[in-house]
Amino acid sequence: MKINKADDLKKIKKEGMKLLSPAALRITVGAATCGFAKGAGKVFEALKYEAKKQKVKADVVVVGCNGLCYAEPIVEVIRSGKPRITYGNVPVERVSELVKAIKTGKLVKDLVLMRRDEEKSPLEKGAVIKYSKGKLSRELSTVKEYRKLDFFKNQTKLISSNAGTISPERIEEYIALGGYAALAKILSALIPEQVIDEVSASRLRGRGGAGFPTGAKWKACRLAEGDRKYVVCNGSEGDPEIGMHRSLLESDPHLIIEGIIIAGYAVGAHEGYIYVNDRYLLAKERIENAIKQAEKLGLLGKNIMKSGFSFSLQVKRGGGAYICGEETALLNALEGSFAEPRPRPPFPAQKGLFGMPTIVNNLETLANIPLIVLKGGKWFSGVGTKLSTGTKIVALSGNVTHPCWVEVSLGMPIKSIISLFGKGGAGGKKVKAFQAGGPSGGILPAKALNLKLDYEQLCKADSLLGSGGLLIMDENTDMLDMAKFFTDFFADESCGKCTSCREGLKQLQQILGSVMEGRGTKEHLSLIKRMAAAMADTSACALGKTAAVPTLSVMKHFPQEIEGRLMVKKRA
Amino acid sequence: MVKIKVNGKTIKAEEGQSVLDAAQASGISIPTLCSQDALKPYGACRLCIVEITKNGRKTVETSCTYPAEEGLEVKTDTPRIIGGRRVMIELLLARCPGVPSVRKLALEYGVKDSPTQMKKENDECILCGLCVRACNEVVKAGAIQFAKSGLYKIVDSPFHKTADDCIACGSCVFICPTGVVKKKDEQQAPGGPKRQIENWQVEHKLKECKKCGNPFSPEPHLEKVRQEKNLPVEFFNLCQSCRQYPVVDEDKCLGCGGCMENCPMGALELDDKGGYDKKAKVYTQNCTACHSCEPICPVQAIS
Repeated sequence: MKINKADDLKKIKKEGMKLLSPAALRITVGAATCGFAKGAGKVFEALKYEAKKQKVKADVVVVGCNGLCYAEPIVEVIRSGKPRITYGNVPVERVSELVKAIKTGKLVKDLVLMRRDEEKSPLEKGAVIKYSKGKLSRELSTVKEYRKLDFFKNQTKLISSNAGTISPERIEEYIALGGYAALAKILSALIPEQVIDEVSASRLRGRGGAGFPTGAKWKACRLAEGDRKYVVCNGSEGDPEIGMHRSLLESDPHLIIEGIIIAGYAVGAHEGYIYVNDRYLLAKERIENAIKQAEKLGLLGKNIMKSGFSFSLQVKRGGGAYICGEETALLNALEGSFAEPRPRPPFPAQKGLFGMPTIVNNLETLANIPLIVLKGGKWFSGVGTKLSTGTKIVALSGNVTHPCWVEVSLGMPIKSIISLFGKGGAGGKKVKAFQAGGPSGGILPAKALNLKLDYEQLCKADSLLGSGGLLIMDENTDMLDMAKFFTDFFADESCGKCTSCREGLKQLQQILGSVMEGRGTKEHLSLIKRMAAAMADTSACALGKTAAVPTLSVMKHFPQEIEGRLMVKKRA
Repeated sequence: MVKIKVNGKTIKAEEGQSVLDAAQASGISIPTLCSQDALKPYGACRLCIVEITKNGRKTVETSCTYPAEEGLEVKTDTPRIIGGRRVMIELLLARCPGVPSVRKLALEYGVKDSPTQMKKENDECILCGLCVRACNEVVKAGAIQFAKSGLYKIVDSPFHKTADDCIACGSCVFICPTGVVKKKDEQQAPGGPKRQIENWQVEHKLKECKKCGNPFSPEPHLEKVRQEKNLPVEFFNLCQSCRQYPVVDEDKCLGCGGCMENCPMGALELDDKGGYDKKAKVYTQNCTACHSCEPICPVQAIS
């Protein structure tokens, strides 16, 4: 069937609800790449097998990642009238025990993490699903309600609220929780300029790193002249320590699709491309399937919802290069050319893909669009801070007790993020330093933990919000090692086009090598400073401009770790 | 036409013309190693950087790639810019100490040598990309490209084997600012005169003029031009000197313009002789002596 009007959406919504909150049993397994890495695939197979063997009638289904990466494999049990129970760290050997408990209505106490009494969606008022009906049993009331856990209490889950709840392979479940309602709204009630106005009112800024106001970008593209226009979703996610694009694509691919279609409508584009990091095999598979499902329902393709607006979407494989995070390098790659940045101006909004007006938006930026359309730009601008509105997905990794990813309001102190979600340094060790926003963000000392996570504060500290990665380093970390590591990263990822980045990184690498071997001098350090300033000014793109930042930040914040390693001049 | 300010002086620029070109046209010099009039700007060497203030916002940009627009303020020689250029020169000197154009710039900018702390190499290629861009944009042979990425970037033939699409025209040799791309023309080779471009592992025969016997151009180069301009098969049997240019008999010429319309090279124009009198005129610098005009003339005025 094709969805031609809002009422058709309601029909599908009902079907989705029956799956999310069935009359019988629903057992879900958190199966994004992180889950699979910890054995979720085996747990899923075991659950299906045991359910059949023990004659337990249940819909055993894969869902995405809820961010509790440290507690995977995660299994959830939804039984009619009872709260949704979450089990964590479920080993495959105990699946038969778990199924037995499910059959008899009991809990496996030592594996229980939390319960959920109702499902709320940021897109709609009130609870969308009431799992628990009637009074809770004594046993169930001892299980912590998930909103009371630090992990969920302190998050503002706007774009990640479906992740871990819905199956990424079932469009009905996405629609059940409010999906594609935004698209229906704009196609029936808003003209493109109104959509742009809402996005501008939201003050949403690009989540890729530059933080450019999304509304302004869309407006420029709308006004630009060209035979055709394009929307490009940047899912290249090249920073070494993060995987949010992957998690979002694997958990809630339709959210991205909807955001892209709305973007196309707003700027007047009828073709879209999602550029996916080629390492993300599962993410690519899930987004491709989701596109097929959306096409089948008429939510993609010709004359969407009989509105006259047509839009087609394709997934393009990336080469795995960090440089493709740079929008013009990405456009070159899409055109089949070298992934190197183009001179700007002209900007992609005027001359982008194949020389046509194009908006290149980060995947996370586009994930915010359906919400902004449904709840209004003004509402969105009230989340976060005045200049950094909305939320940010943060991937916490490194020497932290609980590696995870969370969605927080912009403006949250970094210290709180690490303590509330990461539960501090791993093994009780002190946090010595951290890196925010990826390698371009440099390495900051512990005293900078008081900084708030937003565009302005991090920029002032010579760091950046960037991709939202937070890499934690404990007291045993050698700062010079980290500087070398990230310099090597940039050297590997440089495209080599411009003198400053290519030759600058070459020299930076060997100078750091000299310092590490005890042959460094004060002259080496002053040369680094001079080169860094030139690289920041003259490089063709942000990679070259920030390539010396890891080294500079270590020189600034941990001077003793470098100066202490310099060669001591022998007295005659 | 737009007006921009360069170092305080207001100059005229064509809309969309690069700041570099506009400045140089007004006699303001900005150094560059990778820009060339016939090629699209690339922005590899980073020497042409300038400070640009637009709408109150100041940024550092390469002037070769930045389009002039009304009201731009450009500063070409601030301490920040000079400092940046000096580091670029030091880096290039460390990579290519023997390249004369780099040494010349170093002299101009007071850079004696690259700092001792920099690792020295002995490359002859500054990766300006002029050869690649000439081959791809002007000659349109597409025989060479950048290969390997990042710090190991080089210019190469596909898979480091013989560049199959190379027509040995020598544009890459001509345009190379360092001389690392070389050609060797051998008049007395055993198999006949030939041209070698070792950089791309290419060797092609040089066509010998049927009249004077001198070898004048590589055969694949001639064949490519012949096909593109739709010239007769025998056209390049004669070298430039031996090819006969058309002569217009002005007494016979009617000034109808038929020859002009049919000339594939635009080498014929109608010259105004006063009154209603127009006569065909041959511009030999454009003429390839293809003789397309001769049979067209209704009164056989061309021979």
